[in-house]
Order: sequence, then structure tokens, then C-alpha cells
Amino acid sequence: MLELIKMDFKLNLYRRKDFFKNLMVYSLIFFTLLLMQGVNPVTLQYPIIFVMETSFRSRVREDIVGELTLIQSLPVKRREYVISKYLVVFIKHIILVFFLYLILNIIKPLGLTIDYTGVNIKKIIVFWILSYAIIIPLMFLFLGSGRNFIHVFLPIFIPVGFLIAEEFRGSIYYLVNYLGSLESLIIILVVIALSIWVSLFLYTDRDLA
Amino acid sequence: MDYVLEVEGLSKKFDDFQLKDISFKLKPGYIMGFIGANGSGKTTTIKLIMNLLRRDAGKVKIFGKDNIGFEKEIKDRIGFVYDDLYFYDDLTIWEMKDIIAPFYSRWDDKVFNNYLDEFGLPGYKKIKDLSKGMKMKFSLSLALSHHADFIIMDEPTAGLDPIVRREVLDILYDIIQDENKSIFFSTHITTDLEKIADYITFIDKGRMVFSKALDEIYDNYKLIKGDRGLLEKLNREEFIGFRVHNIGFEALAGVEVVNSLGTTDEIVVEQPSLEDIMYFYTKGKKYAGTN
Amino acid sequence: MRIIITNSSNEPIYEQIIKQIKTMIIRGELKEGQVLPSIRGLAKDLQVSVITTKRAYDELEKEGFIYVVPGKGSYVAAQNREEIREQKLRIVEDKLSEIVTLSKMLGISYEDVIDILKILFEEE
Repeated sequence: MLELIKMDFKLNLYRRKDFFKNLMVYSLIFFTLLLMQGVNPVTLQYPIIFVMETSFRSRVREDIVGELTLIQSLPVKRREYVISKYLVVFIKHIILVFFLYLILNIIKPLGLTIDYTGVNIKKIIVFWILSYAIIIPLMFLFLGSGRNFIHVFLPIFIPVGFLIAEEFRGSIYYLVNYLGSLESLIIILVVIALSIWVSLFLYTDRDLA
Repeated sequence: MDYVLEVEGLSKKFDDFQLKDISFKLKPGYIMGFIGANGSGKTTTIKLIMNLLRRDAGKVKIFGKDNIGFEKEIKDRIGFVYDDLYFYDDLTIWEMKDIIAPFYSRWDDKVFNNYLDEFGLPGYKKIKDLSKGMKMKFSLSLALSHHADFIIMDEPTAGLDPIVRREVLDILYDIIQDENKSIFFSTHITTDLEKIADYITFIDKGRMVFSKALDEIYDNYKLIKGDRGLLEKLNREEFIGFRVHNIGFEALAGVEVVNSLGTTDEIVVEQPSLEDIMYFYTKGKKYAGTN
Repeated sequence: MRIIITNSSNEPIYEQIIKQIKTMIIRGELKEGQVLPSIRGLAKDLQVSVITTKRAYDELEKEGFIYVVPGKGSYVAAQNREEIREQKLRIVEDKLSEIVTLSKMLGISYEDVIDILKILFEEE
């Protein structure tokens, strides 16, 4: 499993030109939105998009089935591949957040301020976790099946869909307000476990067409 | 272990194609050629063996172990080469190797670099800049650099010029000098197999035709040629397949059938090539040629 | 050691191999105890299947011409002088019977053949 994670980072390393170009573009969009709209679910989805794009290699040109044929012919279990994706996403997201936070502090002296009112760190974290918990299985729904265009659109649509659902239900707020208490933590963990279970279910028996 | 590869009753259904009841075995230390027309199910079978596709029924054992239950430890000892093997095109040979090597417990950089030298592959070259022949040699280098005990290949010589094909065959010959190594490869270029294969498994339209030693095939099949008048007198049902043309006919038959015909000047009996055998089995008891 | 096989004859390859090795042993070109190419090495050189060369060697071993030491290699067996002489005589006899048949067909007499033989032997 470690090799799979290393492989992901090596790929980003070997493609560093692309990687940094994307990083700059995303950061630009992110901060522009942040400055214009402040912190809200739309701006918050951007880190997710970036992480998903670089973790699932959703460049439209690429042959996802071919890639999986290569990877799964190596000594790699289906299960390992799925879990490695979750770990990779987790690690990358944290790194990205730190990176963006650093940049935030750099642009502060420039006088550009961001409207922080009503920002609850815990709420953001929960939003991210739940978004990933839904998107990643959705990626696995199509991964290897030959329908690759989904990769590009999914990271964008799903968080948006999620927010819309959020507007109609106060359950997220309820969950967040009580975050820190054991029950909520357990629910979050259950959601993550469920997400992993669904991904495994979808991918383990899949025909790599 | 008794067999390096055991396939039994392997079946898989698709919308427009079905692989049914494929069974064959390969003893360690030998080469098995896997032949069949395009679309006959060769790639599907190999993908099933590598668990890239989930089988509907049947058993697949490699090194005596189930290919799903022991997937990781089995694949650690398998070198694979596919015709359209995907690589990260924008990476160099070294970078690609750097990604793949860590997955294998017995990776040997020295062996890999030797192959690069032998094949004349520059490590700094990007994979997208490699010709098809060089890409194949690179695939081979990767497959042969982790002390694999079993090499499985899907059409490794397709699309290669005859010179590179010979080079690839020579490499296979060298591998098989070690009697602990086994090779399984699918091809529709049967002339390659006639030189090197020990066993042949023949598949057509998703079904097994036979799996035999090459020697046995040569012993047991004969090509009969004669004029059309003669064909009328013979029992066509006994032929595996035949082809009639303007001035005569050719038929493939088992050696018992041929012997029962006796010797006459009217019949010419020849050794069929693998291609002949494939052709007549596939075309069956029809007027395969001009009528 | 020189073995040449042909794909175009109807004779199975393993038999061609057997014949040629036998002949070399009988002629003394391969000496007792001499090591033969490995089964796999021979297969590679002749570009045939390992099963073919193995079959040839198995047959040669059965007939007592060679012996195979597992893990080490194959060697020319000690040849029974009597048997060798028999084999040699048989080879010449086969050729001679061809000549006899041919002579009868062409109407050449026994005396003529003896004369020719005499000249040929003296040429040596």
C-alpha cells in the first residue's frame, strides 16, 4: 500500500510542471472567490477539486482503463488501491490546506482581507470530510468502467449538490454544533467507514474493461 | 508444484461474447503458446488469469494457488507483457521504472540496466518517444527484472517488424534455459510458435479447441491434398476441415483417418503448419475456399 | 557436434535428431563419456520445442546410446563393440541393397558391380 501512495506522489513529482501550473491556477481561482464571496461552501469546494484531480488523474486524455490494467497487474490488491486513494486524498488535502493558509498570511499584508465572520473551522472540516465521503465512492462507481468524462465533472458537481442538500437540512449544523462530543465523532467515523466500504464494494469485483 | 498454471472450467459472459469452459494446464519449465483468431477470447482469458476481469465460473491456479486468494504474492512472481501496455507516456524510462520497481520484492536494478543496454534503450528517453518495438522491449525489461518465475504475455510480437520479433523470441529462448521459468504467450503469429513452443492451446469463439504438446500435434495431424474427384469418394465427415478450390482440395485430418485411406498416388500427405491447423479448425467443415 | 534438421521432410524432428546423434556415435565422431548439449540448449540452437529434444534424448537413452544424469547433463554411453559393428554393417548393407536393386533395374550385372567396387576401394 505504501508503494501506491509513493507512486501517486512520484507521479506528481515527475509531472511537476503540470502540477505547479495547476496549483497556481487553482490557488488563483480559490483566492479570487475567497476575496469576492468570503468563506462559503462554493469556495470551500475548490481544494476538494484540486485534490481529486491530482489524485485520480482525471486528465481527459489519459487512458484510465489502461492505467488500471497496469497497476492491477502489479502485486497490488484491489483493496489496497481503494484505501491508498483515501490516504492520498487525506494527505494531499492537509498539505494543500497548509499551503493555502501560508499564502493567506502572505497576502494579508497586501491589505486584501477575507470576511471571516461566521466561520467555524469545525464546520469546514466536517464539510470536507462528508464531501470526500460522497465523491470518492462516486469516482469508484465509474473508475475502470471506461466512462472517464465523469472524472472531470464529478468533483465540481457533487460538492455543489451537497451544499444544496445542506441548505435544506439542518442536520449538518446539528452535527457540527456537537462536534467534540463522542457521538458526533463516532458518526463521522462511521460515515468514513461507510464510504470506504462502498468504494471497496464497487471496485473489488469490477471488470477492468 | 505440479503445474505453474492451471485453468479449469473458466467461463465469462459478456453482452456480445462468451468465454466458456476453458481448461488447460502448464507444467513449470515449458513454453505454452496460446493461439486463436482475433476476437476468439485470448485477451479475455489472459485478463481472467490476471484477475483484471472477474470470472463467472471455473478455477485459476498459479504456482498451485488460487489467483484471487493469493493475488499479491502470485503477481510478485509474474512478469507480464501486454500488446497495448499502458505507460505514463510523459515519463522517462527511468521514471517509469522508478514507479514500478518498488512493487516487486525481488526487483533487480542490475538486471534491468543490463536489458536496457542489450536493447539499446536510453533511460532518459520519454516513453512517448519510443517506437513500438522499443516500447515492447521496455515492457520486456520490466517483466524480466524482478526474477519472475512465470512470464505471461498477450500478443507480445504483434505489430513488430520481423527482426524485432526474432530478437524477442531469442530472449524467450534464453529465459527458458532456466528450467524453473515458464512462459505463456498468446499470439496469432503461429510461425513464432512453431520454433519455440512446447505446448499449444487453441481457442476459437470463446471455446477450447485443444491443448496439446506441439510434438503431439505434428504427430497426430496431417494435411491431405488431392483432386476434386477424389474428394467425392472420401467421407468428408472424417475431416476436421477442408478447402476446395478449382483444381483440387486440401483437408486436415487426424492421423488415423489418413492411415485408413491407405497409400495411393492420388493423395499427397503433408505435415500441416500451425496456421493450417488453425485455419481448418476455425473454418470447419465448410467450403472454405472458392467453390 | 553438428545436427541439422529440416522442417520440410515428413520425418518427425525428434527422429531426425535421434538418427544424426546415433550416426555420430556409431561413426565414432562422438566418443564415450563425451557430454552432449543440454536438452534446452539444443532446443534453442535448433529452434525447436524442448519436448522434442527431450523426446530424442529419452529415446536415445532407452536404446542405450546415451545416459542422462539429472541436474548435470547427458553423456555418450559406452558402446558395445559388437553392437556397434552390427550397426555399422547394417548401414552399409542398407546402402548396398539399394545398389543391388538399382543394378537389377538398370541391367547391370553382379560382375560389373564388383569391378566398380574394386576400383572405388582402390581409389581411397
